[in-house]
Amino acid sequence: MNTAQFVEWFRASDHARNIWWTQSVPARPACYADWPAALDDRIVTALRRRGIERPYTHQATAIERALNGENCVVVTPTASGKTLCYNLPVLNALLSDSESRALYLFPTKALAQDQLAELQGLIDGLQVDVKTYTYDGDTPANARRVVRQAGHVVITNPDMLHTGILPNHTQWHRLFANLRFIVIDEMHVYRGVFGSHVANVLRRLKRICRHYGASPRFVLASASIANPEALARRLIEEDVVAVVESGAPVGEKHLIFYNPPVVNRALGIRTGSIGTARRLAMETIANRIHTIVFARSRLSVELLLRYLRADARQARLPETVVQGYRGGYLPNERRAIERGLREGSVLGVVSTNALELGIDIGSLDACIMVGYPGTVASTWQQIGRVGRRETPSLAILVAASTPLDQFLVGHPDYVFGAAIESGLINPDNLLILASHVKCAAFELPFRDGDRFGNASIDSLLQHLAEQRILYRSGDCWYWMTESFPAQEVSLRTAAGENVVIVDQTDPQAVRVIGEMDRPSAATMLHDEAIYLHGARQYEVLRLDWEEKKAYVRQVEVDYYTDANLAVRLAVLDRFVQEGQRAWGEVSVTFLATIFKKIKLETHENVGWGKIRLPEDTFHTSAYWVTLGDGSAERTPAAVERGLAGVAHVLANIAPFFLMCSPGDLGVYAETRSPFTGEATVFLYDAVPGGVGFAEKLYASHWQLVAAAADLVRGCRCEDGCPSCVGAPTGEGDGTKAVATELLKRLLPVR
Amino acid sequence: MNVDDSTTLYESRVPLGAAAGAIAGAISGLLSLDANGPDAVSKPVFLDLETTGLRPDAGTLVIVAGLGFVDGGDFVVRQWFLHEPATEPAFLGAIARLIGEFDTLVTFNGKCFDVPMLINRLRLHRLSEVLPGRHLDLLYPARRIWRRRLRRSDLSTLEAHVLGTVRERDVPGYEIPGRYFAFLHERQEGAFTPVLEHNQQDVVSMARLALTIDRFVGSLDAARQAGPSDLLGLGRLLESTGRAGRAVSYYEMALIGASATERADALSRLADLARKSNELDRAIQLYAAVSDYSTNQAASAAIALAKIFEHHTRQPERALTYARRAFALMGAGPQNCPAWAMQDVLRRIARLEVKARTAPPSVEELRQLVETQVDSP
Repeated sequence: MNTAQFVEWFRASDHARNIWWTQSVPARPACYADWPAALDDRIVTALRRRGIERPYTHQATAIERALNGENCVVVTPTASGKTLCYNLPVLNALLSDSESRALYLFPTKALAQDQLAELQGLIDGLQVDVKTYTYDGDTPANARRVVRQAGHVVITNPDMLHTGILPNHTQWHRLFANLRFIVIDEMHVYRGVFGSHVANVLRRLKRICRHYGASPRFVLASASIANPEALARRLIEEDVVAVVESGAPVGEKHLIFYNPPVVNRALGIRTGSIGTARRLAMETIANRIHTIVFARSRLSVELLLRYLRADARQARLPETVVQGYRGGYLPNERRAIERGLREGSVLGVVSTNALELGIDIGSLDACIMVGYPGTVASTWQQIGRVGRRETPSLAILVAASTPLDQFLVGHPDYVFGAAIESGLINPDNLLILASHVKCAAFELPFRDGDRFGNASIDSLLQHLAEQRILYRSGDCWYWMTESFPAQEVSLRTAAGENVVIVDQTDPQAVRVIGEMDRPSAATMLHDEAIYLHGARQYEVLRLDWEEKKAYVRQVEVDYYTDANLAVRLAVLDRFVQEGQRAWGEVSVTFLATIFKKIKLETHENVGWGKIRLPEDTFHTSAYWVTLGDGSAERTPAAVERGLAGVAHVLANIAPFFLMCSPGDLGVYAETRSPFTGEATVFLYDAVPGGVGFAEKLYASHWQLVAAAADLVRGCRCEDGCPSCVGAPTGEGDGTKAVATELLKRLLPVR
Repeated sequence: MNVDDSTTLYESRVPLGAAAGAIAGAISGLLSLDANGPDAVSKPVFLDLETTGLRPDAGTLVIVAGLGFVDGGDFVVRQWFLHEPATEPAFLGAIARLIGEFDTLVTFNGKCFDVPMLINRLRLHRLSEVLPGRHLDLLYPARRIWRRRLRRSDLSTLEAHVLGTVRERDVPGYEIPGRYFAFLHERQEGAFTPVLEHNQQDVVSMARLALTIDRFVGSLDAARQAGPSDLLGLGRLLESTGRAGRAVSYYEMALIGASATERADALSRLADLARKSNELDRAIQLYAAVSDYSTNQAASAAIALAKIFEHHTRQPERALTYARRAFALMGAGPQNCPAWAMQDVLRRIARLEVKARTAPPSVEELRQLVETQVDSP
């Protein structure tokens, strides 16, 4: 069956009863415009030779804006030819002045490699001497000098800019003095902690450019989000125009929301989304439909990979037709998989969102999302990975039983209506800001009264001087310690460095197989944890928390592990309060306590163990709602369960408004909070110092409680289920009813 | 000692007597060892920097610059001290201005350290980076000469073991940044003075080192005092700068009073040079003598002999004998012989076994011969 036949069959098959919503997005023809007059004729000729006669409307607009010296952000779907929007202005500048330079930032090294190939193709067509290089951790030491001296276009990532380029700016003076364009692709990735860091790296970049007398323009590109212009402005702290109307053609696309059937009505338990996705993926793969399965966590990727490979063997296909792809893989592993996809020896790929970004992996026909990807932008990006112009493609979202998935499967408008989620960053998060002020002071002394981007830093400089990190001399603030501050700041996590995973299976060939951020390591790489990598199981022999190393060995066991994290929270300061909602600063303490061993396939609990790791405390911002005192008619235990239910719903719905993943937000509930004196649910930024989630929740309070109440009301379970207020405890007394009462206290009185 | 209004300046004069006048000549001589320094040096300047770090990244400051030059009969060391970081542009400007008055820069490890450090700061302040076109980095000749004798080739080791001076109360390099930071906060000049003394000493030692090297290179008699090991090093230095003829006399001198390994070294060098100048009989004699002193060198000497007998005198039987001896020695030597070298010898033996026969080789042997042909005559 081809994809069109498959879709027809699928909709008529037994699956039909699980299809909660379906829509066919018709093919849309291309809208063309003329090349902007300011574009060099040589470029137009070279493009025509490559078969590009005319630009799409959004390309023409963006190029014209950029040539006109305006900053612009292009917000169009995957595969709409965004790269021309920045490559052409850059090449145009290079043709008029061969000393011009451009700097490209991509969030990953893989994307940089892809971009290099694309840009090189254009340059070859122009027959000009434009040198383009990637500069990242993979660049050999002996090639680096050439890149610094001669690179017209340097393609790198924010991390390398942060640790490798800016601190050595005197060696890059030719680049900085002649920098005309800064290109930032996949801008929507720069949100939350990462975005807050990147905004500060850009403050440093602009500071160095100014020092060398350059004032480069920005061209940004982004997936669809509600606030591209606002996010871009917050990142670059300059005016920016948004180009949002795509002129690119799209093929017909069939979208399906698939809700696995309920298997236990009373408990509201549905068939698992992973198992369901596994069945659907095998149906497409068996039909030779090139399929990509997006799972939400590394763990799910590894599980699905194991399952699908077993299924492939059963279907007499080579195991290698199914491949895994996720962040923890080393670069050469990833390159091989990408090649297999392009060449067709791979029919199915199981991926985390690492592949959602614009890496060229050839044409795929079907996309299966295991659970809502977490943001509407990601959903569209993942859907955008499949589809060709001439044939229809298929995207199936398999809902998980989480409250958010169940809410969205019943309210598809939230996903497919107008974009309502925003990329949030907080460049002025004190911890993040202070880290980068240090890096910036290292790069160039500050002067009295200097601002850092839009941030006023007088008191910060004073503080750093008191710490004897800076030294004030005349009106200058000099870096005055021997350390190298950029090394101590990771852009991807708020705190600490990664834990390296060392495989000791073969004592003769001990090797590093991956790495993981510290918070995840506490629950995934603790002693005795089963860590899955490349569809292989590893047992953690020892986690050395001080040295940041986890020693593992390969095992074959029939279980995986799942760890618990104990949390305490105390309010330090309340910034605002209105009625039952508040926003303020809190201190949160964590402790990884125990882990459970869970049997594969059956998911039954087969054992447990203690985790011995030190406690971790941080300060962050929180949003909280107070729900009054207990209830006269209910027992304290019932109120406690009801409150936990409310917390469960709020915590699961909130990420939708924040464009964050559930892990970016912490939740904490108390029937009588010492601070508020009432039953209280706290939702806090999981990052020390916060990145603005709590503040945004405070602002979205009414939408949030309305959606939560809507979800609980609409859920067809009897007394709570994982999809609304959480699974019933078995103590049988109306958790859902209590939660509903409590939620009612939050709704506006009509 | 006096104080400049923008940056603190210290000056000291070391009376060097006649030696002061010899410095420019010494630098000319040492530079002319390199192909790119034919012009006579009239005004060399010695430079040594103290910094707050080891890498020339944007956060690393130059805090002390010591410049040494000849003024009349004295050797003058002028030092700038960055007593206030805010005065850095004036500090750098003054240093660059003085350097600009000279035509040759002399440093110790300046190619990797002092010059990149200075350029980093000048660029950071967008000041002109023009430095003299000629730069003599004494580390390289020093390393060539004394690497055999001394485990480390830093300036203070050379001072102690070559110049014969011992520093009384020297500041270790790693303490310098910390002392500077402390000075900025406490303003106790006393704690930082040793750093200035250290820097001054470095500049003076550089000049003395240049004079010493030049004297050794220029006069075999002078070099003889230094002993066989240094003579070998000097021979190497001369060889590397295309003065094989002079190198021969240094190697020959080194044979006097040499230890067994030194003797083997000297003989090997002499043999190599004889072979290069096509004095085959002499080369054969010398190589043959090497094996009497060192099994280590004996293997390479045997290979050299095998090559001569195979390709030059065309005596495959003799060549085979030496190739086999080389192979035997390789297994016996104290150092592990790399596998590729063993393989090379085995190929040579196989080839020579064919060549050494009187009967013409078979087709199969010829094929092998072609395949194993590794070096041409």
